[in-house]
Amino acid sequence: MTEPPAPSLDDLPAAVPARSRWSRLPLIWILPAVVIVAGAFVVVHEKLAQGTSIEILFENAEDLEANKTKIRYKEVEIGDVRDIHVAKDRKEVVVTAMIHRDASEYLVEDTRFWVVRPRISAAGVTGLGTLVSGAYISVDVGKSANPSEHFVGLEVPPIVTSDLPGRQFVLHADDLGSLDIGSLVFYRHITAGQVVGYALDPGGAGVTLTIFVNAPFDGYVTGGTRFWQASGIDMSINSDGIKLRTESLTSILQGGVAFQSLPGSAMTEATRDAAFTLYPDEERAMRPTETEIRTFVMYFNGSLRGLSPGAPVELHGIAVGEVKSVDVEYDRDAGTLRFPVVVDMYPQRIRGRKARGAQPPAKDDAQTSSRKLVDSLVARGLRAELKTGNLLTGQKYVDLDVHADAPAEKVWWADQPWVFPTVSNGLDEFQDSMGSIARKLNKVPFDRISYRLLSTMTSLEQTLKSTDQLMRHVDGSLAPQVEATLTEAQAALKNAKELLAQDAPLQSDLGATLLQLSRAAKAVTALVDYLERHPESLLRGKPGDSP
Amino acid sequence: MTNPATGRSLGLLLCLDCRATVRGAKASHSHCPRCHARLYVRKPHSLIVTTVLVVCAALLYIPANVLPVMNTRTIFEDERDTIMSGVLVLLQSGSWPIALLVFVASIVVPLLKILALGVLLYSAWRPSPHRRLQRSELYRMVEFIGRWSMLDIYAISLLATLVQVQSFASVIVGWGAWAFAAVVVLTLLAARTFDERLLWDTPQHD
Amino acid sequence: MPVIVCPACDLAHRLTTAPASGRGQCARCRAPLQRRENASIDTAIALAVCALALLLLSNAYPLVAMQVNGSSRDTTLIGAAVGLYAQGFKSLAALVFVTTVVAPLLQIVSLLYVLIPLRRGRRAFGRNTVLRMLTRVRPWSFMEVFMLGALVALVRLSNFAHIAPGIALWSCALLMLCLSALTSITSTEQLWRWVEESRE
Repeated sequence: MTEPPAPSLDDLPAAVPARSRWSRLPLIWILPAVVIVAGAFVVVHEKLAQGTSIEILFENAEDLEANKTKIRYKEVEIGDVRDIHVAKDRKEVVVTAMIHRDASEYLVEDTRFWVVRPRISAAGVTGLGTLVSGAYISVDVGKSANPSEHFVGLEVPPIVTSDLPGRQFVLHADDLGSLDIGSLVFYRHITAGQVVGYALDPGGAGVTLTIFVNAPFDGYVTGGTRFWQASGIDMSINSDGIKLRTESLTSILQGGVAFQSLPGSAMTEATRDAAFTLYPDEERAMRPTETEIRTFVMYFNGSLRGLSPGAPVELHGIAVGEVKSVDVEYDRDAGTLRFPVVVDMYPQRIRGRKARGAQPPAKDDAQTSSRKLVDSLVARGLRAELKTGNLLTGQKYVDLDVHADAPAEKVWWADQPWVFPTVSNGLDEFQDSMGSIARKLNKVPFDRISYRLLSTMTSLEQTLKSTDQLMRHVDGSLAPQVEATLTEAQAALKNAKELLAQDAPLQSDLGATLLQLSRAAKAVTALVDYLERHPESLLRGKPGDSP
Repeated sequence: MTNPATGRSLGLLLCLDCRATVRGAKASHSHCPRCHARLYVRKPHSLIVTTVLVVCAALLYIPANVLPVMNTRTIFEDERDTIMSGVLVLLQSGSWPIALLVFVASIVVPLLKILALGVLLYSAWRPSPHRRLQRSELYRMVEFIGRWSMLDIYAISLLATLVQVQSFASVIVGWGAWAFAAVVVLTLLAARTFDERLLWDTPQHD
Repeated sequence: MPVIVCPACDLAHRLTTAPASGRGQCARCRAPLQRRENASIDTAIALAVCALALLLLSNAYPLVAMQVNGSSRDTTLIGAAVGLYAQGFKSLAALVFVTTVVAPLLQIVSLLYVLIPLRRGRRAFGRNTVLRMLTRVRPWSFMEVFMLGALVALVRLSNFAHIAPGIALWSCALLMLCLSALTSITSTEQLWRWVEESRE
């Protein structure tokens, strides 16, 4: 059997080398591929993490350096300054900064930027750390919802930052006094806030201040809260005496504002930016507002010096009214000058006691019944009298009291304003009587009395002399006992004679004493005259209200 | 054999740029057929140039170590550092391995290079048949370690660039650094211009 | 006749195939003569691309950031040279710049310039000049020395400041490794061998 011949090796096809494109790419290419991918990853990551570029306008670039100055929020670095150049209008400097990506949410419209550098201000020295670490830009994040990338930087750090809990209020005052931005606000002598700004009212009639009260004190500002200037030293001289008040050493130096709520006032918290009046002092601020005011006029005899508007009208020491004004009137009919004192009374303070279960009177009835009440009191002797509240200051006040011996008078309801009956001042009477005593004393002829006394003494002496002679005559004829007695009598008379001699001490003493008494009487007269004219002369000083 | 067959004796030239072995032509100037570089039997003026370079390097070695390399100014003090004092500072701050590294690289190595090159130059000027192998190995070592002296220069450049914090500290480069860099560069150039085949050339040449 | 001459002692040798492992040495002075090199051009190109990417990263980002007393500073590779220039040491700055940026860049770019066309069998314009320049420039690339110098600087800085290494520091370290790998596979002989192989 023939088999096909075995194929020889030469007939075998040779393996064809595979010429695929991909086999030419060895594994080594993984390395650059990995590197490029990693590099691209890094670049993209850096670009994404780059953050936002913003522009801040400042007046100048003091202490700022490109690529160096940092931007911090709550002391945490959130970006840095990249470029600084002068703006086209040459009025400010444009600072370009890069803010980190995770801080981009802080960039809203009312976010504020300022440069922190060492500063000395009313609040003290701040930013000393920047002497070593270099200045930085601090941020106060705003509350707006609109993002922004252009800001105007503050030249001065803000007094309050947005995240400080508390509330802003508005105060109206006549003048700024000693207040300034940064002046403190006190509540019960505790620092509760600061004055953040002020501006002159349009028209120049007053000043409007903006204050910021920190939490939790802002909760104590209600509708019934009163604000007053607690600046410096508050000294008032009035009929109650002299009062000295200060809030704190800081307020003495810088001025301050204090507030407190009127007792019994509304408890609802005041809203943001609510407006209040700024009173000049605590006294005036805390005066409760009177809802019912009745105006009277009183005519007083005697000097009205020392009675100033604002002086109280007191009933048994309780203030029931206030002097509104002191005027001069010329009464044509009588041809004399009159001095009406207009007084505001607060009838609320004189409450009628009602029996239990009795109904309060209706409004019209209330007026009539109150008139009736006043009439009945006046009929019993209720009068107004000027009294010196304080001898030191000479300030006077109006005192209402029942004078049992006062002449009968009535309230003149017909006149407008109503006329209230008055009595003279007790002190005036005392002055009058002192004056009359002094005058009487003056009239006593002390000279003649002493002269008379002298002549009487002289004649008495002569009598004694003759008696002495008589005794001598009797001397020889009477018994020696009589002589002894006479001798004793003689001795006694001699003593008396010595005592009553012209230049005897007793006589000269007596004469001198009488002379002094005469002089004293003259001096008292002069004093009383003077006091009558200048009652406050014991304390020279201006009578008047607090500064 | 008494005379080993050298390239020169066989008329073969080695191209310095592409390492091709070329049959030398008779013309004074010839170029490599492969890369067209100029061919030389030995590096031109090798001995003289290398000697000049080494002498300059040796001269500059003194100011390199005497002049301050770095001037560290803080609000408290003004510290001038030479290379040696820098090493001591590193020692004192506790990092002795680094101190050792800087010491070797910046003080030992340049000195060694200059001395080694001096030895090599001497034996090239006055060739002797003894210890040629060791001298070749010495040359190879010089070539190898030459570059490492530069590390102090790089360290100084980084310090001078980074430590510029006004009112706290600033680093100012001193002329010692310049002299030191010059020493390093000159010795590097000297190693390159020196033709090591001169060590093996016998006085009689063909 | 395949003869090679020792570059160190000028002794002529017979050209044989290089030993499988290690290198052939000169018979007289033990200088390295031959080495078995069979790397492919692709590897070289890949490594060069790698090195290029790393070089770009190393120069784009800061090397290290230093924080002291609330202020921080950082610098790039070029910034270190600029720092020297700013202090008036222009030649020193040039030296640092050349040895750390220019030389590696030239090395990488010239390799790519020659090898990419070579891979396709083409000849790059001015190839000879470029290859000669490469041979001269390569010894001046001191990336690994720079890394060590940077280490010394970091140690000195860490004594009084807080040091944060930057991206460029890591990419420089990788670049250093990449460049040394590149240098070892693209020796002068290897390059010219590739050139000769592609011609045929």
